[in-house]
Amino acid sequence: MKSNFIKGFSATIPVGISVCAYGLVLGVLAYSRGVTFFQLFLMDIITFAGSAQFLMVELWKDPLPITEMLFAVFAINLRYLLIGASLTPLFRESSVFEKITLIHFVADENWAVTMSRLKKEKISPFFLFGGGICLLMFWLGSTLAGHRFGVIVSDTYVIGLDFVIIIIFTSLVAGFYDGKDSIVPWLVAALFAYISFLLIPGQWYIIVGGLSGAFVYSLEKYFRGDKSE
Amino acid sequence: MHLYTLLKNILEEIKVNSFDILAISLIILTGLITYSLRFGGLVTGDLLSKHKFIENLIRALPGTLLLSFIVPSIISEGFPGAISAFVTGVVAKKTGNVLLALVAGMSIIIMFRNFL
Repeated sequence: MKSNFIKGFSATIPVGISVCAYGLVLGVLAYSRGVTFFQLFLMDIITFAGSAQFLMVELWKDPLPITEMLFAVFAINLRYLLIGASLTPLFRESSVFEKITLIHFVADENWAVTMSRLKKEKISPFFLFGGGICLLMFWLGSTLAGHRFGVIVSDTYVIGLDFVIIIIFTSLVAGFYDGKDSIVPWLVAALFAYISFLLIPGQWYIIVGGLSGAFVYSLEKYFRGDKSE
Repeated sequence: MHLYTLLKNILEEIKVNSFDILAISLIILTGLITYSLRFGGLVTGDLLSKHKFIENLIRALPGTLLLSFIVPSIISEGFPGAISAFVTGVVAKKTGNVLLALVAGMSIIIMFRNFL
């Protein structure tokens, strides 16, 4: 059990380091948005999901857009249903207590590391847990450091800080690009997002664009037939 | 007058505190949502993969949501925004290196804003 933890921890260190770049930016942004050190710390531990935290920080203002934020976090983290489902084989022999406690520590990165290792050898959920703790340490370290250093950044426009989030999200989006199948759904998503951005007040364009694009993707797969089936 | 400032200060204080309480509740709530999804997936497991349509919908969501998020900002940034986003996307996809993509995209936007 212990060795699985250590194996998972060390296997996740390389991705952990690359996650630090995101973390630093998130920390600086959080500071500029008025998210306190403690609130960021809580988010890191309780939510522990990068993209969702970026969305939250970006939507953060007084008064808090609660409904939009909850919807956005729910929608963007829906993928954890699939991630959780894909982990069913790993947890097959685990107790309920293990499931309840360890599943919290799954994020995109250690999930990917765990799944690729699972193909090669038999590992326990503690491999995933070790990776999660590793990620959490890098995540806490980098986001909170970014928050502390946020003070130094004075002119956010000149150094393009307001655009950093867009760049970060663009590189995240690229990671989700699924070849030709993505083109039409993405065009639909972009179009619907922009139209509702112009017409509907608040941040609903994220949900409208996201759902319509994903719906088109499903339709496309449904009519063309899913090759992976 | 003093009483008024005192009252005003107290009210300000309450306002700040209620924002903090709300903020922390919101963070806890988003955490609960995320946890429920993680645990829910693990528990429902095989059930979910039977519904291909739903599965595909969920699979496509992160990309389309993030895209919807960035589109208005890129459009309002105009040509430099579009160039910067395009380069970032291509670099990220081709190299898989986020840091490199970040540096490429940011240097384009900083260059446009400061020198052009």
